[in-house]
Amino acid sequence: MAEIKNNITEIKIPRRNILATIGYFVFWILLFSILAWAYTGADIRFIELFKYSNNILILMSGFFPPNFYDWQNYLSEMVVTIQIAVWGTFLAVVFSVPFGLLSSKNVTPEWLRQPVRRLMDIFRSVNEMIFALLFVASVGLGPFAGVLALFIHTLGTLAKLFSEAVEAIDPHPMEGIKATGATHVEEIIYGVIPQVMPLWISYSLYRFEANVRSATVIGMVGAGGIGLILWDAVRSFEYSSASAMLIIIIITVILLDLLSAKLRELFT
Amino acid sequence: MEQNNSILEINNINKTYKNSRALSEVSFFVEKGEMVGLIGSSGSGKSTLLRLISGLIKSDKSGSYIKVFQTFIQKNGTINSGIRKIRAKIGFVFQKFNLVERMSVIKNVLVGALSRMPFWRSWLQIFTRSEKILAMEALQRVNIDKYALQRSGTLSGGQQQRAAIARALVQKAEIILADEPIASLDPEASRKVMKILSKINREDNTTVIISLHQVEYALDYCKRIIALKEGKIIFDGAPEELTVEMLHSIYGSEFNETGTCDEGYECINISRKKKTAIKNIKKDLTEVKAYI
Repeated sequence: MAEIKNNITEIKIPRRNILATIGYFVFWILLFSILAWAYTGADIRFIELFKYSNNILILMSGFFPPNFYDWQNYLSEMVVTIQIAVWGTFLAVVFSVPFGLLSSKNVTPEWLRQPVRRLMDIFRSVNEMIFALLFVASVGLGPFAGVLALFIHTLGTLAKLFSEAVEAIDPHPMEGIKATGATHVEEIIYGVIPQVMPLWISYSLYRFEANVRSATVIGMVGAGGIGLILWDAVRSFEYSSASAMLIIIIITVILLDLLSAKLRELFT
Repeated sequence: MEQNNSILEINNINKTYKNSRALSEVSFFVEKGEMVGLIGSSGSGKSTLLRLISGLIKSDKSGSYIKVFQTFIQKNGTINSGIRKIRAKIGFVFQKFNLVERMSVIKNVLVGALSRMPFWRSWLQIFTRSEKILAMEALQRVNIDKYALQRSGTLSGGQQQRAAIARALVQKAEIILADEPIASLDPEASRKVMKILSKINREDNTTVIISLHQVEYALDYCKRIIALKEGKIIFDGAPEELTVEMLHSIYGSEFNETGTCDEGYECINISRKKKTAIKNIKKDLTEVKAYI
């Protein structure tokens, strides 16, 4: 027994660095101060959420039962929404190839890369909803405005993802191709593209999923598809029709997500 | 040495990386059809030298130049703007093979033909029948033609290195620079690769410059040895002129016959390896002498 006791006293628990401990507390203090600072601005009223929960229940009950009377119309608008996403994503993928390469450190010189990157930052930081508003104003109401909105925003996102894939490649094969006397473009076609292809396909499919979801929303500002009629239904208090549309949207999105996940598995 | 017949001329090359000198005042000539072994311990400047010859890196600005086929590759630290055309005739074989693993073996080899193709065909990846035949012939020579349509990443290391040599063959390279081509391979695969390189050297009269960490291979396959130490040439001559004393100075304290050294276990291990190397060299030398 005595020996065991001795062993225990000899074990030293390593002490955490004092700076790390201070940093730990500073982190939590900072986090709580930020939350407190944002509390009033964000108009947080949890109590009222409970007090008026009845209203929410009444509103919700309007959604049931869903009214599928006009289902053919909903379905055809859902198809339009998917078609918007298909073209928006397609255009974005096509343009992301050059713009992605132009924003990659290992293939593009600094003077060209920086402006291209900043342009992509702008495309990415503005929400597709806002682009949709702009394009509705310029090319008129309808799906084409939605396609353009998705295209520009997705281009910003995909170009960044594509360039990250390019920057992560193994540089050795590129050097091997360069050493045969190939041009820089040939280095990219033969040395870079085969390496990034699986990731690029995977990112593109993922963005397509996201774009189907976004396409339902941008319809609300007049950019076509099911979002447009959903917004009309909500504004005219036809909650049971809106609920039918929501069910169609949810099922479609789930099915497409599953399909795209299966496809992505093939490429990784 | 008759300067005008040289296929490669290196004159007074210096190369400095940040603060450390990789090469200093390196000069030598190589004639057409030579098989040169570059030896030296790691960090002696072998890779740097080969990369300089291919114009993949620049030398220091010190009145130096490198000429291949009587044309400047680089002069005073400025690379010739027409480097691509010259490089097309220089095959480069790397330690890590530098193939595109997700591309088929034949396409990797066809890359060697890119410099002769019009850009639209190369960008659209359209190869003619004769280019494909050339690639298949090259693959047959290195004996991996049956894997032509497989992804190169699925091949073994030795096979990948042979594919890289086939790429140089499709280039119709007149010089092949090989940077530690067998450092990542097992002994059997190493022998195969060395045999192929020396066969190409003999049959096509292609100049081969090959850097090797293992002295045995250099002695077995090269008719001329250039030894580098700390960026300087300390030996340039036939393998039979290479003495054990010379090897001592090439590999420094690493090359220790007594097998003991102050720096501990790892060092002893290294010197054991070197001891077997010495034995091999002695054996080779007696063989060479017997042969002569």
